[in-house]
Amino acid sequence: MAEVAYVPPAWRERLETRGLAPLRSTGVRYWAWIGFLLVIIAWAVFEYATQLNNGLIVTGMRDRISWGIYIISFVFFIGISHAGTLLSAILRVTKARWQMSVTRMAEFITVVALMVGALFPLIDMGRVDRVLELFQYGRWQSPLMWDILAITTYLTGSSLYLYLPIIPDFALARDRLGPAAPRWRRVFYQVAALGWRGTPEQRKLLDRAMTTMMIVIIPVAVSVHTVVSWIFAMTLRVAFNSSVFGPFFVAGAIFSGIAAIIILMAVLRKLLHLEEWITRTQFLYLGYMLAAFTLIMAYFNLQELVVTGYKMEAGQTFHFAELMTGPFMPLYAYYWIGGMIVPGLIMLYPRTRTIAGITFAAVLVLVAMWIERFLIVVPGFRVPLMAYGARNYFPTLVEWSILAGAVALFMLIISVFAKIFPIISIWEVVEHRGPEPDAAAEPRRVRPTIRPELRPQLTAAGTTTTEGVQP
Amino acid sequence: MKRLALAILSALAATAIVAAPAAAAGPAPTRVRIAVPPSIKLGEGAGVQAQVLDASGAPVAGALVTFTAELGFLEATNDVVLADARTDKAGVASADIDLRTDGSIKVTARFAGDAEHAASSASAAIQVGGSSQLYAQGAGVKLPGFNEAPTAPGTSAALLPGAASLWPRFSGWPVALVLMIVWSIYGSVVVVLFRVTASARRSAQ
Repeated sequence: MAEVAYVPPAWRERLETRGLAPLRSTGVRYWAWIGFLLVIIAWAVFEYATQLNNGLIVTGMRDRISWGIYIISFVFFIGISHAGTLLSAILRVTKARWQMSVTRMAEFITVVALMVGALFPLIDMGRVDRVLELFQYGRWQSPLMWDILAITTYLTGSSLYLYLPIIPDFALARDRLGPAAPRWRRVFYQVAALGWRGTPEQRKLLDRAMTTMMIVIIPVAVSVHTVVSWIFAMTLRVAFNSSVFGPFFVAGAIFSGIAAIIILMAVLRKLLHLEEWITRTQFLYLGYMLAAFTLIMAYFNLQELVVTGYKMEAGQTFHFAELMTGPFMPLYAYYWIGGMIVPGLIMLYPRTRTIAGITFAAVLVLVAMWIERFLIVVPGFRVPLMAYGARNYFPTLVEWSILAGAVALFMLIISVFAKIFPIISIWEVVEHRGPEPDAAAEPRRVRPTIRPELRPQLTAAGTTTTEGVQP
Repeated sequence: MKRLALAILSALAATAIVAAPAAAAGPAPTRVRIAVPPSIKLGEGAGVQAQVLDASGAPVAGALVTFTAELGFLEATNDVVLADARTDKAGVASADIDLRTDGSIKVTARFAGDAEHAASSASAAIQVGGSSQLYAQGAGVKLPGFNEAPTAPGTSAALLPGAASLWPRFSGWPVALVLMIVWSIYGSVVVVLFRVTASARRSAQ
């Protein structure tokens, strides 16, 4: 029999207060942080203007290697965008309750990473004024066109999927912030809440919409990274000649996405004092998923190495030598050790399976996954197609600056979102999860499930009402 | 086969331009005869042959012949190597080439010479007809309507004048279909959101 957690009123009150706290007040440190990010972004914009003015000659992409850190970062950001929607949707579909307090963060990461990631192909274009020609003269048969369509579809779907479960929390903010809140906030929450009152009809409609989106967003998310992989796999390059690039990229995307969620969770938990709602449980379960994906990634890598290495065509010999004994050996070694072996070992031993340990493992993985994309692109392009020597690529200051600006933009949008949207899905935590035994101030009691229509429901005003008569 | 090849060579020889043998003091002079089809359609392969003969008209066997085409990209024009072939006992080298540009393409057969024979070459033009499409899908699975324009007889694109030229843009119907389904689902979700708002209005009344 399913169980519904008993929700102590004081616990719920603390959750609502803490969940809405970032929306109520803003400290000096926050503005200093925003200012710092804006300075980095301004520098990146200046460097981008230099690139626009002079062309891509100011980048390291000058000789044979025409994809650099712009495309690497594009794949990286699109990858971490899978964290959110895919993870959140899969866990919602499987009715996992532990993830309720982190779904919002995961969905944030998706939308923001997509927004930032989608900028990189434009930056990489050089002549960004010609972007409209993609739509005027683009061909349906081109994987590049599929990529544009897939990302646009995914960004729209993810935004919708982020918005749906936030509606009851917008209503909560509308009713709880009070007249002390700035007028723009009150108007914003009023409009964004869509008149939510938590009536049975509204709840039924919202449930239907969320169910639809959580099912449709999973294949859309998978298709996006598959299409991203096809940009590589459908290019006539020795290093990209692989039929497993699709699932390999999807697995890599989820892998880096989980790492991104863990890091964001650790940071926001500390900064917003969410220790009571984001506990070791979330870190542990996400850590287990991370560990599982280290094995999946190792499997895919070994599959590539064994199959292509067994045949060892001429170009592949060069490629393997570059990775294993050549100039990319340190990065390749880090990818294996820092990206797969050490995170797996951290999760294997109970003593290192702590919040700090899991966060450290996530940082190792995230860095390794950026390096993985670097190792796909740069050594892949170094394999000579004709009788010429392999060329070198190293990003210039312009490229590093623009990458730093993009990372700063990612953090800026997350920081701004955290001030506008409740960072925890308050209503879902209350209704579907309840307090953890070791986190609740009051003893947890469990009682048998009552019919859904009779369940205590959190109204917009944050009070619990019961419709009908309890048995 | 050899006889057939020679017969074709002889028949097409009328279109060939016979180049003057390269002057060389040591090695014996040679001459090359080239035979190409006068016209092909863009995307079709073309069989080309060249015969290397010495000064007495005897065939030179085992000579390496390089077939090139004069092609331009942006403002640069140069000879692009299409194929290499060795001559047989009849002095004939054969190759299948794939031209991907329309217009009159000058194809050259060049014998670089060796210790006993001097270098020589010959050129002929092939008229490549069709649209001005630069590249045609040369390998992989061809799905009509997806990565191949459905211009086969009987299709709507073939029946409607001018429609064929539109197909490359609109032939990605499977992609379009999937997109339409997904966006329709998004649309239905947005409609549900409107119903949430309408429900709030009804409750307020």
